[in-house]
Amino acid sequence: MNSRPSTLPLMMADLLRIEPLASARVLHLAGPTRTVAQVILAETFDRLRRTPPHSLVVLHAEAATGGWSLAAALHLAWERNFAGVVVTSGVAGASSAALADRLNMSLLLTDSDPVDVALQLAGQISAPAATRALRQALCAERLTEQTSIRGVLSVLNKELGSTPVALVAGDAVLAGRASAIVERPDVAQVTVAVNGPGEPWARLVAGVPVNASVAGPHGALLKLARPSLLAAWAQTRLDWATHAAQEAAAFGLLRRLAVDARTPSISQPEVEIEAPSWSTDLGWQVDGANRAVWIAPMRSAGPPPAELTHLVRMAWQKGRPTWPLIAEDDGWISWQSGSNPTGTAPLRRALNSFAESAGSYQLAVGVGRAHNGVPGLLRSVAEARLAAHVARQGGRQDVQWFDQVGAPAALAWLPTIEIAKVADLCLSDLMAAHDRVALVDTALAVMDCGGSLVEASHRLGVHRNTVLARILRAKQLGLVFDDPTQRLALHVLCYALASLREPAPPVQ
Amino acid sequence: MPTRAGGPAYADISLQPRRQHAVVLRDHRVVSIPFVPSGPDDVEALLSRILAVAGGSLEAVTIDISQILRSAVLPGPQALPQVAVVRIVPVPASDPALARSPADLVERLIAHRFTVAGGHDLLGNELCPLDLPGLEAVTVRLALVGIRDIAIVAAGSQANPVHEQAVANATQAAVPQARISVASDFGGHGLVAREATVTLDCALGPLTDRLLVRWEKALAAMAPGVLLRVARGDGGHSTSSRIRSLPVVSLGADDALQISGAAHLERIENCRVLLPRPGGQVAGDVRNGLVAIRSGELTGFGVELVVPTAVLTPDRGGSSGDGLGRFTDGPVVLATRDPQELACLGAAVSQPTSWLDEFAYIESAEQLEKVREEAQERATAIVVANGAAPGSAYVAEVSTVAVPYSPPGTVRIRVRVAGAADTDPRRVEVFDRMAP
Amino acid sequence: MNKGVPSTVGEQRGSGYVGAIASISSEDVPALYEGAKFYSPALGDANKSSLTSWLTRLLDRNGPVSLMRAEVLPPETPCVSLCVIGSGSAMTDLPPSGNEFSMAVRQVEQATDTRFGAIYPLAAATVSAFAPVVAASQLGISLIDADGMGRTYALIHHTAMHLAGVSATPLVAYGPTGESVLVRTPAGPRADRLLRGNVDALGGWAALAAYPTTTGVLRRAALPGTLSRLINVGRVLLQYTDPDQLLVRLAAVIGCRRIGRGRIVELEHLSRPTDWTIPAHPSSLVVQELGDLGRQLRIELRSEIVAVFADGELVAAAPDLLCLFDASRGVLATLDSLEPGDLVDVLATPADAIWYSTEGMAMVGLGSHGIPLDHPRRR
Repeated sequence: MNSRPSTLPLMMADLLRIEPLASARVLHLAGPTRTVAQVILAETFDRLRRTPPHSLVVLHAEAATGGWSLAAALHLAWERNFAGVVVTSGVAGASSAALADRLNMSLLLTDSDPVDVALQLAGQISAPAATRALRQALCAERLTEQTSIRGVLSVLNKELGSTPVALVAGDAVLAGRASAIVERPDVAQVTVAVNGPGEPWARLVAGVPVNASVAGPHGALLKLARPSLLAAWAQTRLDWATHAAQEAAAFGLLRRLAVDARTPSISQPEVEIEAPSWSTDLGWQVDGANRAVWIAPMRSAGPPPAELTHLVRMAWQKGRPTWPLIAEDDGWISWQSGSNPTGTAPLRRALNSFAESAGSYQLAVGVGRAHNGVPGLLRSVAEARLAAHVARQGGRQDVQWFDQVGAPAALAWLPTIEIAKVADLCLSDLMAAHDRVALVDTALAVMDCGGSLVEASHRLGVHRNTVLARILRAKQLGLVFDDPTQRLALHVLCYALASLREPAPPVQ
Repeated sequence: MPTRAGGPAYADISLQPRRQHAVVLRDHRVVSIPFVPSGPDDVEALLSRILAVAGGSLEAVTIDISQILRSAVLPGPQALPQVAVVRIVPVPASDPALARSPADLVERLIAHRFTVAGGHDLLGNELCPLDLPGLEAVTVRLALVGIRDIAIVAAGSQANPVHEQAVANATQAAVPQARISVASDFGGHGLVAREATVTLDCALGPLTDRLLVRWEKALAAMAPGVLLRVARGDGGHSTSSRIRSLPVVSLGADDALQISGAAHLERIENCRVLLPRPGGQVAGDVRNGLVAIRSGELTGFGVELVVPTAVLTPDRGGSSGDGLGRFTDGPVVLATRDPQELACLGAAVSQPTSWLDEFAYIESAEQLEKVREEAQERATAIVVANGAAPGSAYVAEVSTVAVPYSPPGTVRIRVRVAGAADTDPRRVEVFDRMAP
Repeated sequence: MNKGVPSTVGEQRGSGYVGAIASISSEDVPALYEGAKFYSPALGDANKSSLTSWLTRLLDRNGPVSLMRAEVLPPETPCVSLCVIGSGSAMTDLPPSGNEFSMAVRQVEQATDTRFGAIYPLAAATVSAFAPVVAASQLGISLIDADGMGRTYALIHHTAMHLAGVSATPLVAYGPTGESVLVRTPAGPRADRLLRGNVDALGGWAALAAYPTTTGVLRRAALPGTLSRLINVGRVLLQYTDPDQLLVRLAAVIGCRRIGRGRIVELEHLSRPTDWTIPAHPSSLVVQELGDLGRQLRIELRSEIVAVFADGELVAAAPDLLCLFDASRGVLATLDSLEPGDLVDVLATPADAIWYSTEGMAMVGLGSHGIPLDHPRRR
């Protein structure tokens, strides 16, 4: 796995990842990339004085009789440029850490017998390749124990110490430490692609300090992490798929409950329906004031693909892991539940953190009003859906709140494509005209302005005579909106035609 | 103009032999009260002036009686009662210089001295059985001489008070009206220092009683519910009844309060304060908001005491070239304001405090930890009795040193505990009665 | 370093040293007290007034004690050494009744059937410096200006007399309980072992009369002039309380140097393996040095300061006389009253040359404290 020559000396970081030093307490670490040439079990100060530089010294017997001996050993270690000092816990005090820090000398405390520690370390250092392999094997073991992407990244970050690692998709950091992708002159980025079945999914990036005296096993470790990441990804997808199915079924049940108990009018939805106990098992809250969110792709094309559902869920639940996300029809439902119907702060925070994802996945978002209980939730869902349609209709990626959308929401519900198709049949002359866009816009403006040519000319930014001329031409082509029996139909037709074009005029 | 608006108000009074100085502290503002000359109704007069400023917001009055006590002790017209001292040691002093106190002003207070064989060592081991026939002879003599104020000190009583208590009980039985002070109430170190402390405590009792009872009565009549606190030599305060039972702990309060008052004015937690004194400028240190204290000689007394007082060092400040320069690495504050006003300010910011100085024997680091914790618990119990709100006590200072040339394992522990003043008079009274 | 700190020792200025002293009068008591504290900064001032007022009254009553060099007395003059064995803290809590020292001398006289013509200090430092002056005054005999340690060490055979082959016994320890112990053993180290347990039972301290010999032997077996030196150092300490000025004077008189100045940040106990036969368990002091160097000074204690490490480097060690001077208060800081936060100068003074000999080092050097490092002077 590591192509480096096996005789390359080990680093402190290598030793710190495996026993016996893995369980040692680090009082001070001078540098994880500090190489360790050999291990010395020092029983006397004479031995310390004869110890060559870059040695890791394990203090024992006379050389470990108390605070003074540790202080003296640290001084000798500093004088003779040792890699570090290992001592049993009882010998060190608060001042020892301060002195190690002051001399910048690694100081490790162990609870094991120093002779055993030294022997094990000596074995490790005499076979650096084996030690590195052991370190990687242990790392691989720890990686396989992880069932979440987060867990895998945390193992990597712990393993690599000062080198940050992140899992990146596009420009977005999915997990790990974002500092890994910050470009700096003193940092070199090591990247390993993580491919899903047949398609690139993400990549692991490690920001390796370039001044590290010995190149670490970064690439090898990142590659080691790949299977665990993919497994975690697959596992979470599996989990999510199950969970999503469960949630969708449960929400369907909730909807049925509400329908069964429904009074004839939607204006009286606050019929008492006790929230079923299984809703809390799913982590849902429905008892309080519920405010629903409807998330949907900008361009509706039936139920969204499972992958998108997955990504949306990941993004939506990043900050709010307990909020539901239920796929229904061509979008997803979620809601905030609370005792205070006017408290929208958590929702606004969630929406803010979701904004970036909404942008990159081209999603429209609508928010309903707060209503109590299960019927209230369903009502809010309907409102949110309307609001989302308004957003979608307007091609707007800012969140639409039903409170602010109002009656025009009805327009958003119009099947504009079907209506436009009708126009092709009943206004074929107009639709064939080369200036149909200007004609439709002008007719719509005049109708919107209640027949006032002056207002329409202001709105369109053209001269009144131009408006008059276009209306005359439109009438010649069949768009006769003076006729009260046809006015509504033509108004709707024009609206549909206009709203299909880009950029669409904003509603309101 | 009396007013109830705003936060609670505190009055702080510095009693002097001929006049009384007071300030009212309210909402971080200090209002000086015109002084009242000593006289039959001075307490009421001063209190009414304080109430005129503080009105119904007055929560507590802290009073510094140390200057009155000091002037009563220092040479001058004798104002204190004569005391009989009973010393419990294995062997009576063979040299007259060792039989008396090194301080003339302490010896002046002692009318009769008695020695009873007995005593313990530093760790509480009995050195000599208590000489019961000898004790009986002493009590007979005590009853004969007709002295009421009796101070008792036994070697090692801070570690094991049984001999001292036996002598106190026998004395009380023989002289029923006796007012007895025992050295084990103060702990501390050094027989001579402990004897001087308990002698002064005994002699100062009646005067302190008179002073504080007057204030208690005046407060009860004019401002019921307002707490009376008394400043201690360590810069803290205790309840009035605690000081009435151990008046000597208030000696030296003026020095400590002036130092903390000056530091508080500058809003510095760690500094050196230079105080002008007739005999030359002296310096006191403030560490973490508390005055640096030590048990030792109080200026002019000529003998060490076991109650802690501010450490004062002659210090001319700056580079004086006369050999009196001192080194300090922190800020230096020159106390230029009126000393009485500074003392009142110091009293205003004072906290209930306690202090322990003990010897113990340890064989391991765990045992040391246990011994230290026990000492801290005891000090905490005392600080609550001194008027700290339960739960507010914290260990301000703790030091443990190995005692040189003693058997290995002998340690000296000093603990200083402070707390936030309790403002509930009923609770203060309850804890006061439960005092250890 | 801080400004005004002399960088070299031995700078001669002013009149610190006034040479040999012929007698000790009540006026010398304050200097005797301060000097005694410098040579063994173990005990604080809790007993100061009692001890000094006793000796002052004694010397006022009986007149000054004459202080003589051993060479001045006839060589066959029998003499005995005196000191306080046990802790000064115990003595503070249980002060002498007054006759302990003279009784100890008298009992050795009985045991050896001699009449002593002179007394000398076993260790001229701390309360042990007072003991021979008290006894000389009470018994009306001369005091010899020489001692066995030139400071204090933990055990009673840590003396120049022992190195010179003078037996410590027969010796008598007379306690404040009025009881006494007579020890006869040919081996010096055994004497200490036999005595320690008894001292505890006697109240934690006792007057010790030991090393009965003659002034002729003492001429070669004791450290000469140590009482005069102690009083002279005491005078300097009384005169100069400014830490920088004091250092200049002490450097001139006794070659004292400053290792560093800093604040005590930590006190550790049982910080080395404990030999329970030696008084006072090992403890340590960590001082954070002020100024640019900012070193961590680690001070190893027993009854005396044993060693000073600066950032782990051994910079001074027993038998050097090491003491702490409270720079912000202008007084010696004693080992029984150290507190975190105290600002101290760490001072080192060379001990008498005999202690740097191989035999001396073996007895009182770092090795005897379980620290197997070479003395800085030997490296």
